[in-house]
Amino acid sequence: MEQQTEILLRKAREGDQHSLNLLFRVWYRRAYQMAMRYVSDEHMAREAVQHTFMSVYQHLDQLQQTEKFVSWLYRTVINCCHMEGRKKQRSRLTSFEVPEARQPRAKMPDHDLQLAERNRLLMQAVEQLPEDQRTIVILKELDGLKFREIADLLQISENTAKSRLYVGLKNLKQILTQQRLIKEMYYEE
Amino acid sequence: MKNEAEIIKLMDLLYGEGAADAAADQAWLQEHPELAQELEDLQEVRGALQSIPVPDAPMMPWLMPTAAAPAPLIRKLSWPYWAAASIALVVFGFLLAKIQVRFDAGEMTIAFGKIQTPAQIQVEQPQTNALTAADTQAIQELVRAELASHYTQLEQTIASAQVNLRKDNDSQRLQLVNQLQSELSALNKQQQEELTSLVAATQADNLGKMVTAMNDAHTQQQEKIKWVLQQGFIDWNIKREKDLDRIKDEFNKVYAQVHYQRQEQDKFNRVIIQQTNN
Repeated sequence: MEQQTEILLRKAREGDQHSLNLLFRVWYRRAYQMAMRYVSDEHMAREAVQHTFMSVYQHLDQLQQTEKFVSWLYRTVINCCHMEGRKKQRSRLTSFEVPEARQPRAKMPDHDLQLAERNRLLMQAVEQLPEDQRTIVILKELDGLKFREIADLLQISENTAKSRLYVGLKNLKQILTQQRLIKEMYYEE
Repeated sequence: MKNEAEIIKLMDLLYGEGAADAAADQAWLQEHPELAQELEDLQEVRGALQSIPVPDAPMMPWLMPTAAAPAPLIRKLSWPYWAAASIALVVFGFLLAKIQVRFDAGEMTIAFGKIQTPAQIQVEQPQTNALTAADTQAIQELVRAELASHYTQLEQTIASAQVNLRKDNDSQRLQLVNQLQSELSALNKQQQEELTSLVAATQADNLGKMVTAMNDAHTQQQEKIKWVLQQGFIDWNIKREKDLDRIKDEFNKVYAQVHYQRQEQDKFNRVIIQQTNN
């Protein structure tokens, strides 16, 4: 993956549009999933990813070390997600539109409905965390990055990343316990 | 309250990213039961988070605009290929447009369609004589005007040099310049008389004489100036370098014009002689 990314990146920087498109194809899924975990909204996630790739395209020649591409991409995704979040907040404050009527849910089996609800509550719990803790929890738990990569991406030390994650997980445990989500999950399994 | 080292150790154990030593880790957890409990709690949270499904990514909605990339062969061609292609295109265009190019007697003719040979102009002897006379007159007047102009310029330069040398009380050089002035004056008079004697001449022969006379006149002027420069002015310690520069400039101008005129005259002579012989 890394070697493939490096080759595509090198060619893209030389002006090969095909390689650039391929590079985006390779990383689109990861970027989208990350954005989705961040904003929990399909539309916002798509917007964030689109802005991310536009930004990458515009600043590709400014990337000094190709091996830093992944952390650069993730950082851009995070920034774009923040941007989308702020945009949404503003529109909430200024919009006078009548909210759309809720779409009736498709018929789902009870078990699936329960799982979907649990997942929604879990994501909501993650969203309740302060920004710095939420970022690290998503990067570590949901995107599976190593502490070294997180430290590189957020430009902090590894120990700081570990401490923040610890605090984040502790807070999350508190929220999940309050919502009685942890025990339910384990009983299900 | 846990210290930072304990927190870091806990996180290493939770994610298995630290240096792995299972026995040592187990011993550490047994020594710190509250931390072992904490580790279990954190693992529980991790378990909950891991159950969150990975969101499905939709199809990539767009692609970066792909510019029409030039074909590799064309991109790699260097300028000699382009130059050759351009020349070939021009030649092809010429052929297509029926433009003809002909080299004849050292001259190149380009024409659209068939090249027409110009009709030979027949010049009769009286016409040649009339042309020669008119040209001779014109040349003589030109030479006279040229000589007069040079002489005037030289006189002005000499007058200026004289004023400066008088100011500096440089009697030795002043004497030389005065001498130059009188000699050039005499020479000018002599040249003008020679030219006047040639005015009446209409034969081609006299053209050669006139040119020689004019060249001689310039040569004599140059020789005089050169002599004066050698006598008193080619000396880098002189006070009036500006005067010297101006005289040298005049000398160079005269030399350049004589050279140019000589070429023009030679060319003219050849034409006249050829016409006369015909």
